[in-house]
Amino acid sequence: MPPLYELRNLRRSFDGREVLHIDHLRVDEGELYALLGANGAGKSTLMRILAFLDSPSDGELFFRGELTQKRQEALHRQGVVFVPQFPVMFTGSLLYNVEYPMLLKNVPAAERKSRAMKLLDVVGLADLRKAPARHLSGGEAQRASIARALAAGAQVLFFDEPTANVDQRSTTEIIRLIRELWSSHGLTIGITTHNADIAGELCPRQIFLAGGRVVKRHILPGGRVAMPAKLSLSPSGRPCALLPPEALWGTEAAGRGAVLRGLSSVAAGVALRLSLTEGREEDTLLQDEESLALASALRLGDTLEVRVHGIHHSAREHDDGGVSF
Amino acid sequence: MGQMFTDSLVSAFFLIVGGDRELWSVVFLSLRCTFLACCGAALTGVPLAFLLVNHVFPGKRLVILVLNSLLALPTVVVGLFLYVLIARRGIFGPLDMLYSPTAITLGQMVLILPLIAMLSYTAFSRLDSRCRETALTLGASAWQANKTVLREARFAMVGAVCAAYGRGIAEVGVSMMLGGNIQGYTRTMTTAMALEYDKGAFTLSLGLGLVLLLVSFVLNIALGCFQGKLDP
Repeated sequence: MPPLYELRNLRRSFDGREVLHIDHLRVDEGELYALLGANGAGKSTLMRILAFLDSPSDGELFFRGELTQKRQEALHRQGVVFVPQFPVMFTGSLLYNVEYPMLLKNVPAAERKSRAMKLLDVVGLADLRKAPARHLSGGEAQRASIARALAAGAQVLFFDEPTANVDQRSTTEIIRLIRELWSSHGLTIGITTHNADIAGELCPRQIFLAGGRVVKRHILPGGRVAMPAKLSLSPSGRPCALLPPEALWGTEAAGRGAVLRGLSSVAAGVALRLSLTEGREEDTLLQDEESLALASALRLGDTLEVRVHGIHHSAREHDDGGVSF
Repeated sequence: MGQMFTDSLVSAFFLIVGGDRELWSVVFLSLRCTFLACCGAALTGVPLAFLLVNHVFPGKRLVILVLNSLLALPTVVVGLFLYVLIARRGIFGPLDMLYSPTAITLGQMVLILPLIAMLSYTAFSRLDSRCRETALTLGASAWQANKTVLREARFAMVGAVCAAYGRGIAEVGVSMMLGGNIQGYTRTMTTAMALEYDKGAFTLSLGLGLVLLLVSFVLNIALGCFQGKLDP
């Protein structure tokens, strides 16, 4: 059986600037995967291409074993639904919005309404069916867009930062819904996020993007996330682990713990002293070819020093894998 | 003077209520010409605005610049240019359009086309650009997606048409120069008002003025109702 997607040497450029370059990537039918990376890493661009809302500038994109052509995008788009970070709700009621995809296919009114109501029930928004859709909260809009995607007969679903603008309660609900869609409905689901904890909790597979390239892929047991961390020597000659720009997401919602777990996957068992560095120095050091050599030379019990934003943090990773600050 | 105004106003009121034939023929001609001009301008201006928002082509900025400049176009200039074109010795002279309701309609259409195009352009630009994309990803064809975008912009579009109707029905220059103010044939509300004013007959002039105000009032009420119904 051919993979759902296969990308070969796929590139996307805007005004001559290359923002995406995927040498090879394969996504199978029924997978639940996360695209991880910092802002500008190319996650959304890749997702939009996979959802046939954008076309690659160069390279090959195979969909169900068939090489896709630009003029066939509308055909491939059927059953592939993209849910943006801030879902667009059309003017009208929530019920109208869920009915919308069925209106496009001229589904009879009675069947349309009954199916829309069932779907609203699934996402827990049946009570709001008459509410103006544009006045829904961020979490409600996300859930409404899930119902609308199901109404469109989605077999492949893409979520761009599904939990970025919602509270904790809605995040839990959205994660539950996505998991249920994957396990019960057998959909292929891709999400973009810069939250390693959510990706680890939800997705068995993570694809890391940095500078438009897939940098490292790890599926760790227990939902642990392997971060693409690079190590380098500091100008003073002391060992210094630098966080690449794509690692900065770890400092946001996921907290420093995620960063440390990532680093520890590169040099397992190493006790870390963490600080953060910013600016040109970091970019320069990132290019250092010695980074990989240093990573392999590290031994259990070594201490690393990382600078980000000039603030020093120290942490220790215990034998059981936990990290303490 | 105050007494004269009150007397004229009362006479004008009875003229309207009494169904004065001359007054109402002028009113209907004005409404008809402007309605047709609006339809023509909307059918041309809205697709033009859609094209300007959704496509990149050479000279796009120039088109926008020209349309913006034409917003302030004096009605007499439109009248003059079209007169040259449709006069007996003009390029379109053989069509024999001068001093006809068709000429008034054409002139008003040219006058309000930039207004409808630019107001629609603003409406489409303000609309969330992801609206079309959402329709596409939910299975809409390109045509269905465009229809969805138009539906989302419908309130602003109706506002644009109402504004254009207001400008069209209130203009004098085009109607006078291209219509010729021929009684019972091309006399519109504004040209009749100008004529009656020249003659010192304020009663009919004021009556027509009241009808103009009424048209504007009705348009605004209709717009308000539309807004309340469609913008939940």
